[in-house]
Amino acid sequence: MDFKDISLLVIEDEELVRESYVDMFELFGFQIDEAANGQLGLQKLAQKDYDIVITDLNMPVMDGLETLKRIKKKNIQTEVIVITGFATIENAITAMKEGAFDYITKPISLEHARIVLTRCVQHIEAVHENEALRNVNARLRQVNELKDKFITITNHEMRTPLAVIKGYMELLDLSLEEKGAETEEYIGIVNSTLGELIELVERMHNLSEAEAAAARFKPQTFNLVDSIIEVAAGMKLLFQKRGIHFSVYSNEKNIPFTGDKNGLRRMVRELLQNSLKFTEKEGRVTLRIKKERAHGKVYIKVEDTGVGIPGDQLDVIFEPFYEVQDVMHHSTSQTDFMGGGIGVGLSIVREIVEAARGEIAVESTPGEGSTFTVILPCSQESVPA
Amino acid sequence: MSNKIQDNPLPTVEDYQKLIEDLRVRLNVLNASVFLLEERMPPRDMEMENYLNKINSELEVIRKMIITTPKVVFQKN
Repeated sequence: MDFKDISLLVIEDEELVRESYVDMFELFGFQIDEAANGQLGLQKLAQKDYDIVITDLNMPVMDGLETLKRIKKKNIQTEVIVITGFATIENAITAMKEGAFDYITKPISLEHARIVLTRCVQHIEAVHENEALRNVNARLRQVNELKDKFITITNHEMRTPLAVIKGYMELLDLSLEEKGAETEEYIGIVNSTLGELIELVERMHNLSEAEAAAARFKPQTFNLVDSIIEVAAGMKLLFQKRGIHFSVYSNEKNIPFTGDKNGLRRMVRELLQNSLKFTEKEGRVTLRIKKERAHGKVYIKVEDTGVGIPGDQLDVIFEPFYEVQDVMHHSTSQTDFMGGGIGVGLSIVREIVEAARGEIAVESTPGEGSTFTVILPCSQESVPA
Repeated sequence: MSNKIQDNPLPTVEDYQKLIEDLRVRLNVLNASVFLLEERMPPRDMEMENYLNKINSELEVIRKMIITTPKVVFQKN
């Protein structure tokens, strides 16, 4: 066990004995300070927090028991080990009742001291780890509360007023017969900002829907190829509009799949939307469906020649609110190049894939493009036409 | 001494703070542009006045939600 990060204070009134303790504990690797009695020891403790204090019980000025009580009063986390002669073993037990971690009897055996100190360091580490876990739990609870609060606000309380404002803005715009350039400009700003807010709220709604989807979807058996082609057909126009070559391939016409049909469609739409968003004009997006009969699995691949994802960000792209680019400096449309969104699309994809007991992988080279591969289990039976 | 437990990098309070901040910024822009629109608008009739009042009253509802509520939560940090 490594003791180099543990600070240790030795309190012993007899100088030669104290030096021998210091030599011994330095041999173990501790950072050592020393004090000649309890009072001097407390002065050192006032200046620095020690992980462990080793103190003799019988000392002039202030005995070990009193020193122990004061150390514990100052910082309950400082562990105290008392050193005692056989004749004062009852005092050692009293010391333990006062909060000492353990006692070592004189003359100190190197091996015994090592065992007691190792246990003490393990105890300190366990306390620190528990504290860290408590902090992590508290933080997660806090984040969860924030998320719930935020989703509630955006979902249920912001949609209506935004819709009302949008409606009245349209009416106002219609009622204004003669608009100057400035009025036009401000109406434009109001409308575009409203659009951004509505989209933020809509995307948050999508995220909360996906979270609930895993619990509520009803599985059904359907032809996966048909469903994906339907989604792709709907997206084709958007690719055309952006001047991106889009094609779909499947090695089979009928791939039966039992699961959440709407979830699957949503997953494909989000993946295609992601490719659309990060592929420039004249780029290429290819959707491939491939059934591996031998393994009973279907592979859905979306390949693009887009901007790609930096290697250090591949692990986090499926997390909610993650986006490769800066959300404050892109356009608001989800279909424009480097367009809007708040980074929940891929997290929705992951939720859906996990609910279907599938897997998702991404390969990407910045500047060359990305390939998202979803692997889903599928049955061998066919779907009636 | 070092802790073995590492902070989980995801998700973080900062993610939500960024998102809230993003909403706040856009809401401020919206408020300001509605105000400027009112200032620069040509003479308006009762109907238009009514539309603007409705817009401002809904903006106030959102402003209270976004600006007040989440700040109270974040202040627990």
